[in-house]
Amino acid sequence: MSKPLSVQDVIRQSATDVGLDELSRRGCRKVKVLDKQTVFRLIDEAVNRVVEERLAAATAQEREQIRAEARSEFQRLVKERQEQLEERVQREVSAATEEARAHADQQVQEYQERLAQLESQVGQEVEEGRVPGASAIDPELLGSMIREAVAQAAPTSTGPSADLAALQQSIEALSRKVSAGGPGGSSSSSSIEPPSEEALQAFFSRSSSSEQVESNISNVEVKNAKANGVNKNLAKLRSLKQGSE
Amino acid sequence: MNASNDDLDNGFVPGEGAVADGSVNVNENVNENGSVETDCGAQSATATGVATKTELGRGLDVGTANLVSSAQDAEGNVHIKIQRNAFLDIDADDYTKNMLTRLNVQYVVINGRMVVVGDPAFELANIFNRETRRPMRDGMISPDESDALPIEKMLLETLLGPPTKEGEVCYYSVPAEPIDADLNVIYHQGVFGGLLKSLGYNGKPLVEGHAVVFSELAEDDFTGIGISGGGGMFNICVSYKSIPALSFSTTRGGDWIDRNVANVLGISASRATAIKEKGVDITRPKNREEEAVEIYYRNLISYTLTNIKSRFESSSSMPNFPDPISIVCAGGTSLIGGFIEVFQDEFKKINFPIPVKEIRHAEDPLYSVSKGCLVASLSEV
Repeated sequence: MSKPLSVQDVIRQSATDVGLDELSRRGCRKVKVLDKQTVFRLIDEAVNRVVEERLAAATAQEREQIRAEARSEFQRLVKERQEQLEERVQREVSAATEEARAHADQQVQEYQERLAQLESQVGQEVEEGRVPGASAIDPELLGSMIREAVAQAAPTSTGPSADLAALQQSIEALSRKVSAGGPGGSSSSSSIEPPSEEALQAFFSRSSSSEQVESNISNVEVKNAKANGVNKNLAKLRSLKQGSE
Repeated sequence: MNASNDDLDNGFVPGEGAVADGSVNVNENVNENGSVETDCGAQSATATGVATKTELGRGLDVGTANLVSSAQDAEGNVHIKIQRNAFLDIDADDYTKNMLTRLNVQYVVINGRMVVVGDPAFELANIFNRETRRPMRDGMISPDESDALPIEKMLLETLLGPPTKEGEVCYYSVPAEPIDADLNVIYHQGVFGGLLKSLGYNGKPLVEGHAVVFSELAEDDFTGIGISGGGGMFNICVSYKSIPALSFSTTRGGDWIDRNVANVLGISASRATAIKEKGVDITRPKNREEEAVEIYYRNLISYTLTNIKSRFESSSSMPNFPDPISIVCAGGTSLIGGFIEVFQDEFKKINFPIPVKEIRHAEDPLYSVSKGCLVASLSEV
C-alpha cells in the first residue's frame, strides 16, 4: 500500500503565498477564506462518497481484496510500532542499568575504603588502649572479619543493587559480631527484641544533652484544670490492699 | 458533658516553683456532673508567685489524641495539665516565631523545620485545611513519624516538669493487647518508660481500662467494667476488687470516626474532629455532617460491645460477680453529647452475659485515666 497522504502537506505544497499589496494591485478587495477544518471536512465527505459509490459497485472479490489489503497494512503498522517501542525500551533500560552499575561500583568502593579506614583506626586505638574493653578484641580477628565481610559482598551476577545490599548486610553482620565479641556471639539471633530500658534512657539523655533545640515551649503556659479529688479512691484502695495482705 | 478549651485554662503548674510572670491562675470548681467551672477573674496564689507543693506521685495518660498529667496538692486538689498530642510544621521566620510566642503558641525547631505543637497545631491545621501530624497512631507510638520521639519528650516535659524528688513514681497508661490488630505494646511501653526515666521519674505502666477502674469505681470496691474511649483505641478492663480479670483493646476510636466521617463528607480528618468536638448530640443529629458522626459513633459503640461480649463468653478467667456490676465510660471519645444514651441503646440490643446495674459516664471523662494513674502512684507512697 502507498504511503498515507498528508492533506495538510499537500495543501501547503500546492498553495501560493500572495501578499495583500499584490492582491490589492490585482483589484481584489475581498478574499474568500476557507479554514483548514472545513477543507478537511470537505475532503472527508468527498472521499467517503467516492468510497461508498465504489464499494456499492464493487464485486464480492474486489471487496475481499480491499479487506485483505487493509488487514495486511494494519498488521504492518502494528509490527512497525512494536519494533520502535521495543528498541526505545531497550535503549532506556541499558542506559539506566549502566548508570546504576556505575553508582553501585562507586558505593562499593566507598564502603571498602571506609572499612579499611575503620580497620586501621580500631587497630590503632586498640594498640593505644583507648577502647574500653579493648583487651577482648583481637585486631587480627577484627581484620579477618572485615575482609570476610568485604569478600561476602563481592559483586555477583544478580546485579548492582544486590551487591550493595549484600555489602550492607555484611557490614551489619560485622557490626553485630564485633559488639558480641567474636563470630560465636549472639549474631545468630534473628528475632527483634524491644529496646532495653537502659538503651532508651541513654537515647533520651543523649538527645537532650547534645542537641540544642530552639523552642519557646518553656515560655508558654500549658492548659490547666482542676479535677475532683482522689482521696476517697486512695483510701479505699489502701484499705483493700491492707485487707488482702 | 463537653470539656471545651475554655474549660482548660492557663495558670497552675504542678510541682514546686512559681508560675512564670504574667500568668493568671484560673479558679475552677468541678460541679456535680464533673464539668469544670472557671472564674477567669480570680487571681490565685500561684499567679502571685507562691509555690504550690504537690504530693509525691504523678499520673500520666498517654493518649493518641491527648496527653494528660495529674498531680495532687497538699489540700487534696487534683491538678490537671493537658496537651493535644499533635504537631504541625510550618514555614519558619523570625516574624512568625515572635508572633507565635506572643500568641502563647508553642513551637519548636526540629531539623531546621518549625513545628507547632499541642492544641495550636490542631487549630492551625483546621484554618489551613491541613492534617496535623500525630506522634501516636492506634494507641501507640507511630512508626510513620520520624519526629515522634523528640516531640513526645518535649510534650511530657511541659506536662510533668521535673520530679519533686528523683525517682518519683509516675504511673502512665498503656493500651491492653488489641484483639483486632497485630500490634505489640512492648515497644510503646518501653519507649515511654525510658522517656519518663530520662526526665527523672520512675515510670510504671498501667493498663488504660484499669486506670478507669481506679478513678471511677471506688464505691463499687473497684469491681466492674472500665472503658476508656480514646482517639486510637477503646480499652476495656473487667476488674474484681481492683484486680483486673480481663483486659483488652480494640483499634477503633475517635480517629476511626474522624477518618470515616472525613471520607464520606470529603473533608480533612482534622475538620471532622472539629465538627465532632463543636457540641454534637448524637441522639439528635441536626444536619448531614452530624448524621455521619452519629452513624459512625453508633457503629463504634456496637462494635465495642460485641467484642466485649464475645471476649466474656470465650474467656475462662471471668470471675462470677455476686452482684450486678457498673460499666463506666471515660475518655475523650465519650465526651460527645448522647454517648451514654446511644451506649445504653446498643447495650439493649445484645444479650450481655453479665448482669449490669448501670452504665454511666466517668466524673471527669477526659481526666479519668490520668487520675487512675495518679491513684496508683499515690497508693505506693
